[in-house]
Amino acid sequence: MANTFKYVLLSLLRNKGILVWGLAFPIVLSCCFMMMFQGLDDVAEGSTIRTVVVEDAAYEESVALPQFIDAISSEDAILDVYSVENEQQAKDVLNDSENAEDPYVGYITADSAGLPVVHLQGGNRSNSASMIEVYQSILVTLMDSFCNKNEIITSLMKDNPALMSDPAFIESLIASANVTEKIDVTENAPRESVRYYFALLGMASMFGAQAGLVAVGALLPNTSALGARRALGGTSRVRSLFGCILASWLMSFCCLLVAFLFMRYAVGVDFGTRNLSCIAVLAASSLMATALGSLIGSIPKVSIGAKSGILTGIVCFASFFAGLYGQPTMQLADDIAVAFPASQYINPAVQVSQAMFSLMYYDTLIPCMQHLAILAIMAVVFFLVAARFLGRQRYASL
Amino acid sequence: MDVVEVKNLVKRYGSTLALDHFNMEIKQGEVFGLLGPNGSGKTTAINCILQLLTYDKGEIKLFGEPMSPTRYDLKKRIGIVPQNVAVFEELNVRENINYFCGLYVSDAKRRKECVDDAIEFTGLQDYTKFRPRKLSGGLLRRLNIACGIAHKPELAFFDEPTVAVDPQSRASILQGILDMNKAGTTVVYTSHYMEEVEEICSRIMIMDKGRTLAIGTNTQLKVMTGIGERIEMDIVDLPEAARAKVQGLECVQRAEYEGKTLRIVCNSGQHNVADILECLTVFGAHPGRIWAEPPTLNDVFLEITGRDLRD
Repeated sequence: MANTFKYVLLSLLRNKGILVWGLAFPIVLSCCFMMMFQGLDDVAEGSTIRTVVVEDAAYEESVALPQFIDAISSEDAILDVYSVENEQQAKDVLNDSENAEDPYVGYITADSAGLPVVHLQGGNRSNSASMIEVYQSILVTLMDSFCNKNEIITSLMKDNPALMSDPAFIESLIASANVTEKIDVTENAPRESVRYYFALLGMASMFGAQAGLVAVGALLPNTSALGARRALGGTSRVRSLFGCILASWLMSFCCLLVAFLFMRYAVGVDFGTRNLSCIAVLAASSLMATALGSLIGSIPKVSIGAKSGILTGIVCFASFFAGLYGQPTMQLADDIAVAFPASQYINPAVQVSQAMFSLMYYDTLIPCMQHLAILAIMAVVFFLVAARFLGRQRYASL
Repeated sequence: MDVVEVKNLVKRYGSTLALDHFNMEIKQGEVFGLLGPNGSGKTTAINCILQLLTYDKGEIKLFGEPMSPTRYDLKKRIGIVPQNVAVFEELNVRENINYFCGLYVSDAKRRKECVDDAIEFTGLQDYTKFRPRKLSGGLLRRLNIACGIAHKPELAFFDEPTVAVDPQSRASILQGILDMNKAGTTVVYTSHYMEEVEEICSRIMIMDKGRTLAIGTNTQLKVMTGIGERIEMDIVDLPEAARAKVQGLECVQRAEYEGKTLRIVCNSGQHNVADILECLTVFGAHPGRIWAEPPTLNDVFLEITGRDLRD
């Protein structure tokens, strides 16, 4: 078995097809992603909310609104404020920026009571619509919060003005402003672009099946002269098979590991902090891929070229549902996942990317373990079916 | 002891009968030639013996023991040089030989010795770092042989090992097989090159349509067919009556006149040429040149299997 393992591994290492699909492909594609998605995370993470503020007489007379706007647009700015003198100018600014890449999300006026009124940008925007809606929601929430606190303080001052001279009460008012604590609901901050890289890892792991396909396919007597010759050797079929599978797994795992390290350290993809768990996911993915490759490689009387074609078709199809091919297909994949959740469980590419997601975003390892279990079950099923083909010792014809 | 013993082997491919109650016994120390036209069942017989193919009926024993797909103890004593070159394209010469030797020999030290011997035996010393695609056809064949015999088998099957090989390489391969045989290996050799089989085989079987047609030594086969001598004479304008007269001679099996050459197949005899010349002189025919030679294995093969074209 050691002899088979050594030389099969050596032959796989020198196989250009495996190196291209298993190693070069994810590295090249992650470089492409790096260029394509360079600004995506910055836009999602670091942008301030572009807002127009009408600084008319009502605004200037407001007791606290100007100070509030100044506070949230200066230090650790939430708002990027553009000041105008009247409402018409504000509308013009909004209209002018409507089709811009980073438009103003609305404008703020002060009413007769000195409270803010938010006017939101309208129109149909297909591209960054979701981000504008998020920004508009934040703006409305901020202004609502101001109005609520303003109402509470005004009411208290009317009912019991003496309270305002009590330092303890003032302290409690300030403290009440902090009842809302900012927390991260995920283990790591969500990043828009990682989904593509996780889907790419899913695809790359499936392409790792090429190693298993080539190694196991070359064992079959009815596929090649080499397979027939090896079947006549003095080493048992089971030992040869184990040697091949072990070599294939190691080959695909190493390719995937190199791709992962490249994404993490060269491209700078955020995989969270659980490095060892990530490597465990890669190991399980490689095992599943080796089993898949063994299954396809063991199909009798089909040439290696045709088997590679079958594998490529399966990988591309599965990766489609992992959302690798861009926003529209990602949306379609999400819709299908909602309508047919079972489709996710039988898709290896989805399971690999979901395992990475769960490592990055969940507090516990349980969701990741569930995905690893599904990958292990897939591997067992693929190996069992392959064993049905590989169990034959003799053939009716070659 | 019979190293190979096959009794009543029947193998069908659908409705085609590939082996029809095929029998074969090969003694220890023989170089056994297996001859037959394309599709006669030679490779099928070997693949059944080696348990690569299923068969419908029959009994196969190797080294006196029943052969089965899991008899790895018996398989370890066998070497195979297949018809098609079967090596790893990604491994170099030494690695390929080492891999195949490793299927039989697990001890690393002994394996290294075996590999070195096989490289020397096949004259591949200067090419150990070469990958197969860098080797010529002859060198590839030699690599194929080295992979098959590196573990020093007791029984070696050579299935047309010299196809597309130049005369120098062929001579080297044949000498190597004889050397192996001298060292104690029993050899089963199939080929379409009659002169090769004639040169190295101690016993020859001719088979066709899955059946044994003849078996014996080179001389025994020639005697079996009754061909004693083949004579050719250059004669200008030979009358048909003269050819018919020659054909009628007791010692003549067949006489054909084509172009300016009279080709005669004779029985064994001491005075065949003299008798034919005497007959021709009566018709005033005087041959310019005369060739007389004993029959070749090719003559025997064609006599036994017929002259019809095969697939």
